[in-house]
Amino acid sequence: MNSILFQLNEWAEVWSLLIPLAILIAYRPTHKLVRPVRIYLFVALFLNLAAIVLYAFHSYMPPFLDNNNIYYNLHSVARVLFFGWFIISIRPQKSMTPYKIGLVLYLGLILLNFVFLESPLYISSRLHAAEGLILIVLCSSFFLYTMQDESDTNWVKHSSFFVCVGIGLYEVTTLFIYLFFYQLSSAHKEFGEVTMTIRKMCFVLLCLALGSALYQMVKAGLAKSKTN
Amino acid sequence: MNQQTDIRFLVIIGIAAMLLLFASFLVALIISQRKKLKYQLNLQSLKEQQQNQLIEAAVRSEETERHRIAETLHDEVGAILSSAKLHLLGIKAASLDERDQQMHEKGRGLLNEVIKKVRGISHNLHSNILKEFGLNEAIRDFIKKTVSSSAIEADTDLDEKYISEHHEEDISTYRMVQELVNNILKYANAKELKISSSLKGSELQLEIFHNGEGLTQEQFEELSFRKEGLGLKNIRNRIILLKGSIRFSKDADGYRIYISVPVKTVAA
Repeated sequence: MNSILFQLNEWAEVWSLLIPLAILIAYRPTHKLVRPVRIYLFVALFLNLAAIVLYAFHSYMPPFLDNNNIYYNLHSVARVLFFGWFIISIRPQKSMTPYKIGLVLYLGLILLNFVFLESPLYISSRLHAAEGLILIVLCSSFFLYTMQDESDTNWVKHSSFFVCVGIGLYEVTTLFIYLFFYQLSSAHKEFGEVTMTIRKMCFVLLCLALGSALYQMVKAGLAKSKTN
Repeated sequence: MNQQTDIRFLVIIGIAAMLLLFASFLVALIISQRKKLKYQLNLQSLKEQQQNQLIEAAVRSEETERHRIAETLHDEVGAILSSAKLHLLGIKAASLDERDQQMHEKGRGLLNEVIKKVRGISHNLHSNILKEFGLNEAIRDFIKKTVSSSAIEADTDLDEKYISEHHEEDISTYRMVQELVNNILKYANAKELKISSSLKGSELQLEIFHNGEGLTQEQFEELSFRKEGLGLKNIRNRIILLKGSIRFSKDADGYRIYISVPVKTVAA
């Protein structure tokens, strides 16, 4: 039983992605917001699968494939780009220019960081902290926008609400974990492992939220086709 | 407290604070959305109320106008026509030559027909029978008078359990039946017509069947929103006013119109 739980925990970042992917494949939502989520899910599945396979079978791998940190760094960049794209797409584009500039700046700074300051072969606390801050700011701006919005839209049942809740929950929980990643892993390994389990649980919640969002998109598509 | 514990403490406090902040954001959003939805529901209900008031006013004014025209026809035009008939009868037909006698006879016949027609129109416009004898009797009387002049075979099977004191609602139901039957006589080219009703709980269900060329639900929806479709528009307005429903259907035997209206009955 413990072994099953252990394997579930180890592979959590792979099997949890299958939930929204199953909804995506079964229902094929055609909502305009589905694109960034769809691409993210496939990219995330590839990166996580590669990272976990390398970790699980590292003893069989040649030395140059012994490190899977680069996949976690790439996943972090993918999260910022795809969820940034998603949140920016929800609102009127005129008001989103500063956020778009922010994303471009982020990409430039990340590139400079990996060229001059850090190796991509190590988990980058800066990268993950920047991810957390950018996505928290984007989610907060979305929540503030929905609170001020006077249209008929019920945002609590909107697909974007589920995505922002999922991503917001993941980022607010993991921000401090990644901020002190190296201090925790070196000074208190056991606590570090607990925080990693918490991070994985948050990722599972994020995937469930994405699944719900995709299902909402399917429902919205059905409602639209009925009214047409 | 050593440095290791400090970092763990910092992480836990950090996560807890961020989660708290996030949760408060969510709660604030949910509350604001609920308030917005409540406001929108109130606004919608006010709009519906206003629309109903407008429909009620339109229906009432139409009814008042019908009464005024009916009374004018009956009391003024009818009286003049009766007086004209008396004068015509006063002419000694025997003293007239053959041609004038024929003209006199023809004039008398036409005058009788006009008097009959005016009385019929006046009765149709007025709802005296409805007020005195109720909806069932008014429908029977209307069918008897309307159908007698046409080649259609008509029948009624109305639920006698239905006795109402709310004439305002009955007038609307009666007017709908009048409009639908008139339409059937005008356009459907039917040979058979049957009106039946049944009282189910607090709902009066009427069924109008005919074997001519009728309307489907889609056609009714389309026509009742057209500018020129005044009769069907009136039916739609009265249905909204009564909070009832109307459904058009077609089967192998012919067309059926189902009207369902909530009613307040009097214990029989």
